[in-house]
Parts: sequence; C-alpha cells; structure tokens
Amino acid sequence: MRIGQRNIEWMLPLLTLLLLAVGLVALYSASDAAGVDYFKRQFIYLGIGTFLFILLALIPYRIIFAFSFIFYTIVLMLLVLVLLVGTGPTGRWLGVGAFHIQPSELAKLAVILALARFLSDSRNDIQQFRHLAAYAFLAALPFGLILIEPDLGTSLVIPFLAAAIAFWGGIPMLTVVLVLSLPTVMISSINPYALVAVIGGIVLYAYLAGVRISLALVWGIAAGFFGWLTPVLWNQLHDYQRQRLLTFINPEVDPLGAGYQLIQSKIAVGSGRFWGKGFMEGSQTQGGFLPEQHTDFIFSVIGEEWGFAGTIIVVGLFWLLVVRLLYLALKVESGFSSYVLLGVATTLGFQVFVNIGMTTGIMPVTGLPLPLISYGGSSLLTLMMMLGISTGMGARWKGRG
Amino acid sequence: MSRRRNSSNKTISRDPVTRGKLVSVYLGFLVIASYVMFRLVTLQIINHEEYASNAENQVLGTESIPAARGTIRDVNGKILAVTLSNCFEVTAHPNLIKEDEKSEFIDTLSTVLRISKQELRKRLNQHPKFVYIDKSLRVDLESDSLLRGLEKKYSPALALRQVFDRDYPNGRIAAQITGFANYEGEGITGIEGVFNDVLMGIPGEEVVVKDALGYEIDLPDLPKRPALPGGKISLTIDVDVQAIVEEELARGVEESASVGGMAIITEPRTGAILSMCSFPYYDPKDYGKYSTKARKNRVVTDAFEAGSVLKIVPFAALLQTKRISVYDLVFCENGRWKIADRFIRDSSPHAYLTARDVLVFSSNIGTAKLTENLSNKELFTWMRSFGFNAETGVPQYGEAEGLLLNPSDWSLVTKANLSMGHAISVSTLQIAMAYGAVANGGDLMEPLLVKEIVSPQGDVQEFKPQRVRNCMQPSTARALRMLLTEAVDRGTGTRAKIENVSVAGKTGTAQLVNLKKGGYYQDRYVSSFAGFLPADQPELLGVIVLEDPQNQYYGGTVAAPVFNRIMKRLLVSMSDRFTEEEAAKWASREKDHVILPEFVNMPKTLVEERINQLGLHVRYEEKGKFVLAQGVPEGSMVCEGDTIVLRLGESIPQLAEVKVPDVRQKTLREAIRLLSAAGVQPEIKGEGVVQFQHPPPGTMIKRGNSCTITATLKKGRDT
Repeated sequence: MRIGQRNIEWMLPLLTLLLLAVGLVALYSASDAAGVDYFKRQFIYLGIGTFLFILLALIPYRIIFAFSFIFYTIVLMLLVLVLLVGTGPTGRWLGVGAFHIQPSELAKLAVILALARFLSDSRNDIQQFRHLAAYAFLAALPFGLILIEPDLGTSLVIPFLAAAIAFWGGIPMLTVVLVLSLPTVMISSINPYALVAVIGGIVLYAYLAGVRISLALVWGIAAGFFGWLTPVLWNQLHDYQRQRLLTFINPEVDPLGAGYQLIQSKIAVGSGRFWGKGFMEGSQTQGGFLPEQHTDFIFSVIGEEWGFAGTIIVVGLFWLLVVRLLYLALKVESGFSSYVLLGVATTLGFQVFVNIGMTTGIMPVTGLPLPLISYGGSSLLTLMMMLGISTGMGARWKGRG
Repeated sequence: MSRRRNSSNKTISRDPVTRGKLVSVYLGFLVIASYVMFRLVTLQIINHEEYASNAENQVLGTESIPAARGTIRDVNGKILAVTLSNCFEVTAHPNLIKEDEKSEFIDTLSTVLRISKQELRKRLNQHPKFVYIDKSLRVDLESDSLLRGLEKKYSPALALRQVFDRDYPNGRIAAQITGFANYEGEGITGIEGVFNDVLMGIPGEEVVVKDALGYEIDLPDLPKRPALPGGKISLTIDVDVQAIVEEELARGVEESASVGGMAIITEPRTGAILSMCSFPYYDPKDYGKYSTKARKNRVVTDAFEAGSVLKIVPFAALLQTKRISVYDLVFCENGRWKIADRFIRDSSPHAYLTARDVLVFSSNIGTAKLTENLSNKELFTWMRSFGFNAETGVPQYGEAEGLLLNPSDWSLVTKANLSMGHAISVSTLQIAMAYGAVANGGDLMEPLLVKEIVSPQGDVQEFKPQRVRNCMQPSTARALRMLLTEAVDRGTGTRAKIENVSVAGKTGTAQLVNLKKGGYYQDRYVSSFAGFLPADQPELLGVIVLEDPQNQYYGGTVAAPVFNRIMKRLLVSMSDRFTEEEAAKWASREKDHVILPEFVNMPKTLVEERINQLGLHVRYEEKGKFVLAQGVPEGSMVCEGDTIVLRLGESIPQLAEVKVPDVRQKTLREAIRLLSAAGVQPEIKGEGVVQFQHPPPGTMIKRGNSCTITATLKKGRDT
C-alpha cells in the first residue's frame, strides 16, 4: 500500500469564499431592488452550507465512498417522492414545514458519487458493453426522473457529467465527442456563429484524434445539416407547439417572458461597459426591469454594476476553480476521488457556461442557477457539499514514486 | 466483510488519470471559457454603445396586440355586431415632413384618404408634433396597399396602426339587446356588456424596441404572442321578427299618440325570446345622441303596474284549488263596489256574470269578489310562483325585479287590488314568461336569449330551454287558455282576433303611477295586451305595452291591434316554419271544448242523447220530461266532462213561465245558482244565508223576472 501524502488544500475553500462574497454583493443589490430580503435568507443557507463544507472536508473519503450508493438510493427515492407530492411553484420541492429541498440538485452529487464508485471498482470495465450499459443506467435513472418533473435544465447536467466521468474512466474521447455533438449542435444552432464554431471544433478534434479527414468532414457536414435543420423545423412548428416545447424546457418562463428577459439581460450586461455603473447603481437592476435577477439572471446584475472588469473576475474565479479541481483530479491518491473531482469540475463548468451563456444570449433560457452566486438554498447546499468533499479529497495526494 | 474491504482498498487505489486525458478536458473547458469571454467582450466592450443607450432610455417594453372582438349573431346567423379589421388609425408627425415634400404629401394623402386638401391641411396644423388624421379609417384592398405604400415612403412622419372598428350592420334593429361597445372596444351595455369577457378575446403581446425619440425600431426575431380573437355569441333573437315588431310598435305608438311602448315576442314552449324592443329606439352609430331611455332595453329594466293582464294569476289559483267553477255566478254590483273605504269600478257595469265572463269581460269587481276565496298568503305565493317579484336572470343589465309587498304588510284592499293587477309592479318580460306558462301547459320557463357561446378557445356552450318551475297543473293552464280564447273571441280583446287562427289573450289598462306625487294619475294609463296563438298549441306569444296613450287608452283598443298586426305579419313571414298539417291545426279549437247548444224546452230523452254525444254530464233538478232551464246559457264553451245543471218540468212551460225554486236557508251563492238555473233573475240584499225570498217558492213567474232574496250572515230561525 502506498503511503499518501497529506497537505492542506487551501485553494478550493479560498476560491469558494471569494465567489460566495461576489454572490452576496450582487445579491444585496438585486435583493434591494426586488424589495424582498433574499440577502438575509441566503445568509442562513450559507451558514448551513459552511457547516456541511467543513464537515465533509474532514470526513475521510473512504466513508463517503462507503455511503455513495446509499446516498444515491435515498436521492432516487426523493426524486420519485417529488413527482408524487412535489410542492412549490413548479412542483420541484419537497417540503417539511418551512424547510424545502429540491431533490434534483442533490441528484447531481448523488450521480457523481455513484458513477465514481462504479468506475473505481476494478471489476468494472467501462470498455465492456455490459458495464457501459450498467453505467449508463445509473445515470439515466435520475436523469429520466428529473426530466419528467419536468426540469430539463437541471437534467441536462447529468449526461454531460456522466460523459466526462466515462471519458476519465477510459471511454475514447472521440466517442464522447460524437455522442455529445448531437445535443451540442442542437443547442448551439440558436446562434450561427456558435454553430460554426462547434462544428469546426468537432471536425478539428476528429481530425486530430486520428480520424481520416474525409470522414471528419462528412461528420461535420452531417452535424451542420442537423444544426441547420433544427431552426428550420422549429419555424415549421405552430406557435402553440413551440410554446409547448419552450414550456417543457422551462415551465417557469413563457416565451415572451423569456425573450423579454433575454433582451433586458443583454442590455444590462452590455450597458455595464468596462468598469460598470457601480454598486447599487445599475439602472436595469434597480429599476426592476430584470425578472429573476436574484436567481437565474444574477450574472446580469454583476455585468451591469461591475462591468467587464467584474464579469472577467467572476469568469476567472470559476476558471481557476475548475482548473484547480482538474489539477487535483490528477494528483489525488484514489481513483474514486479523481472521478468525483472531475464530476464536480464538469458540473460547475457546465452550469457556469449555461447560465452565463443564457444571460448573454448564446444559450436558450433554461433556468439553471449560477453556482455559488445565485440565490437558492438547495443549489448552494449541494455545491458546498461537493466542494467540501473535493477539499477533503484534495488533501490526500498520491505518494511520490 | 473482508471481501468488500479488500475490493474497496484495491479499487480506491486504481488510477484512471493520464496526462493526455487531463489536457483534453482542460482544452475543452478552455474553449468554452474563451467563448464566454469573447461574448462578454462583444457585449461589454465592442457593442456596448447600443446597449448603453438602450438602458439609459429604457426603450424596451412589451406592447399589447389587440384581439378582434367576437361577433354577435341572431338565431339565423345574421350579424348584429361585428368587428372590422380593415381599419387604420392614421397619425402624422407634421414636424417630420420635409418642407419640399409637403405639398406632394398632402396631394397623395388626400386622394387616398378621400379628404379634401383643405381639411387635411387643417388637421396637420392642429399640433406641430403629433396629429390624428383619422382615428378609424375603413379601407378596401386597393387603398390598403396604397396606404401602406405611403406609410413606407413617409415613415416616420406618417404612421398607420391597425385598429378595430365595431360595426352594427342592422342599425337600430335589436340595438337595445345587442348593446354597445365603446371606442376602447369595451362592451358597456346589453349583450356586449354582459358577455364582454367572452367577446373581448385575449390580447397578445409583443416586445418592442423604440429609439430615444419613441419611434419603433424594426428588429427581427422579437418575441411575440399572437392575440386570441374574441368568442362568438348567437342569440335567439330573429332580426326579421325584430324588424317587424319594431316597425309595428312604432306605428302603434304613433297612432295611439303614446309616450312610449314595449313589445316582446317569445316562443312559449322554450321561453326563447324572438324579439324585444322598447320605443323610442336608438341607433348605435350615434350612441351619444340618444337618451338613456332609448338605449335601455326597457322590456327587461322597467317595471310598472300592468293591471288586468295579471288577472290570470288569481284565476289560475281559484281554478286549480277548485274554489270556484267557471260557471259560478258573481254579482258585479253594477259597476261600483265599496271595499273597506275604497270603491272598485268596472269600466262597463255588469249585474251578474259567470266567473268565466268576469275574466272575459275583465270585471274588476268580479275578480276581486272571486279572489275573496283566496287567502292573502295564497295570492302572494301564486304571484311569486308565476315569476313575478323575482329576476328572470335574462343576460341583460339592470333587470327589474318588480315590487310586491309581503302579505304581512298588506292593507284591507291590497288583495282586491292585487287580484286586478295593481299593487304590484312587473316587467314586460315577466308578463311574457307568465303567459308562456299558461300557453305551454304550466311551465314557467327561463327566458332564453343566448343560443350559443363559442369561447375564444373554441369551446361551444349551447343553451337549452330551462324550466324554472311548474306553476300550475296542465288542466288549469288549459282552462285558462279556454277563457283567454273567449276573451279574444267575444270579450275585451276582440281586436286581437285573426282570421283562421284561434288567438288567446288578455287586455290590461292601468292607471299610470304618479312618481312625483304618489298615487295614480287620473287620466294617464298604461295599456297592454298579452296573448298567444294558436290558442290550443301556442307557437308564438306576444306582450304589447303602450305607455300613456293620449287618444284612447283601453288595452283592447290600443294594444290589441298592435298585437294583431304583428302576429299577422309574423304568420306570413314565418309560414315556412310550419307544415300544412300544423297550419291546419292553428285554426282548430281545442278538441275537448264544446259549445253548448240550447236545451230549454227539449224532451229529457233527447237532451240526454245530445249530452252524451258531447261528452258532458248532467245533473237534474226537480223531476219531469222536459227541460225548463239550463244553468249555463247556450253558446257558451264548456269542457268535456263538465256537469251541466238542467231543471226539469212535467210539461213545456207556458211561454216561459217558470216556477220559483225554494232557496231559503241556502247560501247566497247556491241560491243565485238555483235561481239562475230556473230562469229567475236573482236580486240580492245582504250577505250570507238566505232568510226570505219574494216571490215565495212555487210561484209561477215570467221567465227572466226577478226574485228578491234577503240574506243575513247568521242563520235565522226557521220561517
């Protein structure tokens, strides 16, 4: 048995703290404009979150490993329960008294732990179809349950993190790219530049991965055709059909409302220019033109009040967080930890990209919160748990040699 | 346990990571992050000007797309109210018209809009920045394209906005029912008002972007939710019937020099309203110019004391409870009767009338006396059960419930007054529904005005006839129909008579209530006629009311002719609705009605045969071979199964000599009946039980001579 190297992981807590601080500042501004004291409530969630962070950082990861399937099972039951007795505006909450949880948020952590546990078992070889199917089933079960809630935004995280962990576990990158290129092309077809960039990326990657250039081009053309077809088909739909689809993607927002939000959000971010309008000075934010500005559209508040300087810092902090998680995934002593860290990095990265993409108009409005910054208990607690676990795992490195 | 521990130890140590994989993932994230950065740079640094100016002016908003208001149609689908979409609001910003283009602008616009150049100049000079050229310009296809061309050429100086214009193609016809929607497209009266929510539709919304000056910028892909046009409503009103009724009512008002009038035509079996109107009328094209009186549907909103038309209620009560028979004789006090401290008068004096003729000739005294057989509570309950003093629920604003005091608040004369249709205010609609119950066999129906509603979402709601309650037995309704038929045949309503069709109906003449001083005007009246036809199987029912006629004022004189003319025209215009067989029935009398032949002086055997043929029963008084007198005079209408009282004698009397019967110790009513049956005219003193009679029993007197009977309330000693 190798002796692990112990060191104190201070990067993750520090980055977490900085992002939380940015979130509180933005929330203070948005909360004031909304006339509701989201700020104070977020403090309470933050207290619980910090407690969970520290607790999980101190628990040996072997205990987490042992509990991962139990946790997964409990979350599955909660997901079924929420379908039956869900409350709240969209029926996604499970509530006992004044305390509500959103099981779909917890599901992200549960899936990461379950998949990591599955792959870290040496008897499981993901290159074998039997094991790959079991792996896919583990991910598909919560994905399906969240999809029919319906909460498309949250459920989309799961295939992406499952794909990333599978890649970590030995699935060829090319397979991952091929599988993910379909939804990616569909989503990016909303913006022609994005579509071209995505297709170019796919072709380039396929070529670099050793696929013959002709095959790569065929794939690129096929993807391009598919991307071009999406909006064409979309326009063929009747208004009410589109409305149904959009309502399926995000039941909380009607298309007009979403379009309105998007334009307002772009105006808010754009009008922040380089240095921003200053704290509590954002005319869009303070005028209450932005709906959901304390949750899904909080990035617009940062964009307006702190400008490019502010947004670049936020994006930078997230970037550092993800990169640190990836770095730790390379360094930690156990495979289980490595998978978990990668899963957390993917979840964070995906949510940040989708959320910022949404507020800046490069992604459809799906209602995913911005990690650590948006108001919301379940999301915050889940992320604090993920980062707490990651910090604990990050403290145990492989021995040298 | 140990196996698991081993495996976990092993698996946890398994190292999946290679540097190559890390680089791939790292690159993936880098691409995504770069894309976000690129986007932020574009938004916040490269294109910030456009967003910044937008934010400063807050020029983004949602604008409502108006929904076209739904159509209102009549029973045959003819349009009563419709929204035209080929209308434009034409506005201009005179300050934005280039000076060198100004004369050309005016030239072309005046040709397209068909406004004189002078007028156009005037409008343009009203305000330097913004003027209305036309608030709602109706255009055809050709000028539509011309206009749009102009807008393109001169925008933003000239602006078009599609607006909706509410049109009432039938003008004043049924306007009081249809109601009115104002310039904002909001229904304020009638069906337009009551069903405003259905008709309005659901406005759409679109996001609009405007520049700092407030002009819309045409950006593609702005989100939009289209408007949902309003629902459709079909009424039971028939525009053709309505036109006839309005015309004839106006004529009736004019001929009688009345102040106003009201009319309603219904289908008594279903309660469907085919037409209702109140004179004066109004034209929705000039809504503001008319008085509230003209705009209101007064058939529904106005309650008044209707008088004798309401006598059907006490009669229904008396007949159904068998308190009277229609052949009972009533002494009508020769036209003047004191009750408590008031006098009740008949317009034409009568001595004795059968109960039937009390209604046929509309004797107030007779009705009041017969009604003595009902308690206050009973009369009140019957009035309410006929639908009076309660809203019918017709979908029109301001429905009158009518006034009727509780029996506990009645004075000594209230019952008598109520029996002849006073001391209660009723609406024309309520009268029509009550007569409908008589016509259809006893069912008070809910008035049916709306046939069908199609909601904006396309849900169809059909309205079926609804019974409020059964307010009398079919036999009672049939007896009343018979009486009302006679009232038209030979009573007060003869002017309503129509050849080849049996008409049933009742007249009413009531003094107008003096709202200023209280009490009644001595010389101002409300005249009415309510009736239906054919009498035995009614298809059409009408109530005509004329307010304050200046020439003649009896309901039978002024209102019945209006009813007559309307029905005659309706029969012609609606003849295609009925089969020949049905039409034949119209002329027939109810089968079970019999006109009584003369039996006097006929031998008993022959009489018995005839009576059996007619399906009647007979009760004999005295004994003998010949009929000396009959209780019900010849020529009267009786029902099958009725019992006829015949007085027999041994021989045919010498030239109508009759024997005075013994009526001592009989009640007054019984005494009158016996004397009448014997052919003796009773002359009555006092009330109660007969004590004396003169001439005494057994005396032979001339037929038709009188016998004086004196009655007291207490039974006296035997004489």
